[in-house]
Amino acid sequence: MKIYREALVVFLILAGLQVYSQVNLNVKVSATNYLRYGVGVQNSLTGNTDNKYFEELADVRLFVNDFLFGVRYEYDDPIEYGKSIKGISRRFIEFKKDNFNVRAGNFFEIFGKGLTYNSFENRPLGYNTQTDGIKLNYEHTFGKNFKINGTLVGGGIDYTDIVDTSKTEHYSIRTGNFSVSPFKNITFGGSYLYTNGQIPVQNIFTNITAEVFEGNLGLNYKGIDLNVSYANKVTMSEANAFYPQPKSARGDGGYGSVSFSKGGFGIIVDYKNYRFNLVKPNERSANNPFKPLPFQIAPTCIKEYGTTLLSRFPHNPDFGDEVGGQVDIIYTANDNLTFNAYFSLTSRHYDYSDIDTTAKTSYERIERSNSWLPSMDDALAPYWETYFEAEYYATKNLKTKIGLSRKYSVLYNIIDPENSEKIKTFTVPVEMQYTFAKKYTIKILAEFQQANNNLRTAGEEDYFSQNTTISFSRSPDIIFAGNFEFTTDKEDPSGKKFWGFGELTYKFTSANTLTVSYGSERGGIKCSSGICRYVNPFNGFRLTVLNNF
Amino acid sequence: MKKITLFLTVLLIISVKVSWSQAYDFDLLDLDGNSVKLSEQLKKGPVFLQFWAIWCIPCKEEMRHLNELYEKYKDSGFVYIGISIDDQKTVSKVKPFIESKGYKFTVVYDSDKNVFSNYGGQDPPFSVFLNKSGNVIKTYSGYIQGDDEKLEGDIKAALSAEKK
Repeated sequence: MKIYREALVVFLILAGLQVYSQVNLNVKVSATNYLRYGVGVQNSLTGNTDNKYFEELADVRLFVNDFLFGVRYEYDDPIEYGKSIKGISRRFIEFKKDNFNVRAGNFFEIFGKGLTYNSFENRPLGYNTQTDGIKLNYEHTFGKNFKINGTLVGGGIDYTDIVDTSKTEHYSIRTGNFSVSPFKNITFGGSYLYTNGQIPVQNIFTNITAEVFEGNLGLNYKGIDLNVSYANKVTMSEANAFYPQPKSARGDGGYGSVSFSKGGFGIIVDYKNYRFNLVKPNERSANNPFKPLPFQIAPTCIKEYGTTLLSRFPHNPDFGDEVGGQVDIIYTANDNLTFNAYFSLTSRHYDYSDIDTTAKTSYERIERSNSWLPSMDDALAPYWETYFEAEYYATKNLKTKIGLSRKYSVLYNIIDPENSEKIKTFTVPVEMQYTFAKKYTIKILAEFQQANNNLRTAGEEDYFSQNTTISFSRSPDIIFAGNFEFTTDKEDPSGKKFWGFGELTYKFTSANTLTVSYGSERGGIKCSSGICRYVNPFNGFRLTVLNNF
Repeated sequence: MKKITLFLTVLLIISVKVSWSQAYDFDLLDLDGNSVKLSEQLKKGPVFLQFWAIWCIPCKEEMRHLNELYEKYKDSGFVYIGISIDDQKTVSKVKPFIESKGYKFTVVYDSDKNVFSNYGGQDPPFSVFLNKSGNVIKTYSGYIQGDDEKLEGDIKAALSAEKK
């Protein structure tokens, strides 16, 4: 018996030594903390209401060899926008080894250009289509250039309406994506998605099932890049109190882009044709069971700006019915001088006419042979914009920039076309930035905007807005900025004509920042990645603390 | 037997070598569709990862200065990787922008922002500086005009530390 025990001891020691030589734990922990607090009032034409928010987000990531563990703790009292969450809102475990990756828990993912599946979060807009489930990815390279890549996803998405946070749509998804690159310059692939969904309308759920097939092709040769994607969606709804009969509908969408660059010149042409829910005007609704899925967010082909007035009056994309495109040209004349010219045009596909001669309405589509092209006809709710910008570094320390923007949009009223809202704007942004003594910088950004809204009271259709930001910074730790906005608009929803606030940002270290601001901010529609919502005007104090550990 | 089991358990625990030294490795595609693996780039020298987007104005300011620093120190082993977090909306503009500017550093796509998120990014510009061993030397959130001087100091320090 003793000999067995000794043999066991020797075996275990050897095993221990073996373990010693093999188990090397590479451990890393990183964390991010994001705290937001605000107290003030929200201005409106009917009066002021108290507005207060407190949000705390803590993300911790633990890396152990090929594993990654992540947790997000969230607390709000109350949240500023979106659905309130108190507790663990994200947790996952990921294993990554060579070309294989598996993740269980919460994640975001985009297949191709997002026509099938684009799960993402935009916290400032309160939009979140985080997936809770499992994701597997594998890629392999044969020889020098032949590559394959595939991803499988299964899980659930709870999407809460941005405006009405009591309304949550539930989706169970099964989806997969693959791409093959037989040569360095060619990639083709496809994706498939199957989902069961529940869309609430008041206290009733509409149950749907939907399938989306997508194919894509990418070519890349010297300075030319070409990408095309096409997706087809079939949706079936079950009968309920709102829809007495089960119904099915088909929709599709295509996106293409071609870009060319050589020397200092670059041009991008994007085209979109989304018909995922091409319905009559009275059937357009956020509750329509055949609408594009909330995680089907395709390219919008609309420019995103980084300044206040250029971002105002954005276009709210409708992936159910929209056709258009954009052209963006960049020309770098030399190291100090860059030009940018831009044009985009978007519209609906068809106009509709009321063919019922009684008090009821019955719409019929007016066919258009070139419906694959956008139109400037007001009946097709067009949106177009042009933009030109020149940026010039007079010296290494002095930068100037000037832009010119023209926008036109129509919110078409099919019942009373004379009451369609038409907004025209002409905006000029001017920027100057001067750095002295290597670390001090003064920056002035002024925007001037002339707007015309035909639905305003007679004589008040034209109004003017001006926004100026003056900032002073000292590298690497302090930025102080003052922002002032003035308008002659007598019908601003806040009932005000002047807004002003000051903001101080202090960086404790390169990755730990505190920002405080006080004053009044003008509200309005804000858009990002095809998601738009109205952001309330705010007058008060804000505090933001961002820490990276 | 209990003592032996306890001894071996302790041996097993202390035999697990813990080192706090792992950057999150990634394998992303560059503008021409080539695979770029972080662990391969780290073999060249310290790596500066800048997460940026085409609509982010301070990112492009920082990129202009980082490009100058890259040109100055690339022969000493400094590696600069611009990681574009542009999504489906703006990703088509990335390559023409970089090529029209004549930038020669490596640019890769992280359209689903998974790498950005795993490094703790909230908003761009967000950067992570790694030494050759893969340790995070410093994390940078935001960009203030004039930060390039501080960045140059960090690059010099990282390069001289590699020589020791």
